Amino acid sequence: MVMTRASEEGLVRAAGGRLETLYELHGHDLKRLAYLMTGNMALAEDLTQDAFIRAAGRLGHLRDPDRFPAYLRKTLVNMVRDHFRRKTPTPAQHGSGGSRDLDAEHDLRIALAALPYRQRAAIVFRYYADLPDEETADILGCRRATVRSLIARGLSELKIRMEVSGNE
Amino acid sequence: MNESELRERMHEWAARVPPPGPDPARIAGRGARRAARTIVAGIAAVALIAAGVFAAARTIQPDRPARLVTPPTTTGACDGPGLHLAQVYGTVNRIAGRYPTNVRNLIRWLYERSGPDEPRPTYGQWHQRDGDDAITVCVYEGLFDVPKGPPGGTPPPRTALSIFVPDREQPRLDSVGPGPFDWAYTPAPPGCHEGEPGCDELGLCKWETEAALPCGNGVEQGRAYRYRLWGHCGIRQAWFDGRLWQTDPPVDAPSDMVEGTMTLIAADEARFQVPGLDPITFRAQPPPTPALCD
Repeated sequence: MVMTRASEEGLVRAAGGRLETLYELHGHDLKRLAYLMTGNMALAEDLTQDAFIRAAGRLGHLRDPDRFPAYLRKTLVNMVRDHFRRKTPTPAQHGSGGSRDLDAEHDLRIALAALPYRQRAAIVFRYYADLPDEETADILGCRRATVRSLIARGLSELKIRMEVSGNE
Repeated sequence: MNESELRERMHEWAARVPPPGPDPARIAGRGARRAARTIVAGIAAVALIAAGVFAAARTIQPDRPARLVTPPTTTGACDGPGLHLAQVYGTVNRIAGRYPTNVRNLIRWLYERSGPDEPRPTYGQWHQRDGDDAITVCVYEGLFDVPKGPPGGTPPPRTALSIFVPDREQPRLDSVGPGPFDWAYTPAPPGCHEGEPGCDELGLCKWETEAALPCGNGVEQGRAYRYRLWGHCGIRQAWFDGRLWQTDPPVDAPSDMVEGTMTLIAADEARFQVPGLDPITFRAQPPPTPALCD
């Protein structure tokens, strides 16, 4: 699970703001999020590190240090957005080996990577990170209704893309 | 695929993600390296500015001719390098289309142009480039030789040829086909993007006059713009070129969000095209009559 409330609680304080401790606590979770949002392992690694450097630099300015994980997620989303403004999403092309299940998984990853980043982020936050829509809205800088709308559109597009690739 | 399956898949993928590689010390070092890079970049910028001032001082001397700047190849790309390459393959009768665009749009077009039921490329040489790189797609009509025909038969005449001309680079052959070129899948300029004036967060045009193209006024007639329509209750109205448009009767939409191109055909007629669907014709609506007290 990604940075659940329980795991967030007090972690930043326990870390005493030390970068390496924070990295140990949150680095892996953040990389998982980055991977789901980009579909590319190498890119996820880069974005994780960059997000950490950027977010850790602001740690001293945070009013509530317990919000550091949320701030990390927000930083990551912004970096994913900035990255895809410059580049087209290219999920890593892992061979599927011809298995039906793996083909479907491959198609789903391609379909997910093809969604606009806000839809992708909203879907990852709900179905992977189990974040409430309110927090997703805060991260994406929009209203809760917009989050619900983004998820609905994203799921609809995913379904269409999966059906299309399934028919090919 | 249902929601629980999606949730399950995502957790499976996430479980396979290895921990981030470098140790925290390297991360910290990376931050320091970044700071160092910033300082070096600052010094380089100062040096460049100084060099620019020096060059400008040299340029304004009357006895020293100004250096010529090579224009980008996208200016007249289809008449120059693109045409020369097309003529290698046969006789060109006319340039049927020129589409200045960027790599991002080109990739999208390559993905969609064959229609919904055809194989789609997922990765190619263009993915390795910056999405903002300028490129021109040139389409020529004429009679072109085919390097290899299908085995055991006479190849059909190839009357359309498309060439990509990246900015400041050699042109590249895209395809030679029987023609005519399918205009439904021509590369369109970007549509409404979230964050732009007049565009909502889903990339749909708001009904506002102060909006960026293609939502706002000033759309070029005959040019296909990428366009999204909300089709949950069928396709009925659209905001395009700063005006309200309507199709009557409403058309059933294949999905809630329909993505295609919108083209201004005439002053009061616009056409929405989606791969695999019949074109949808919209008519311009008169501006609403203001109420007496407005």
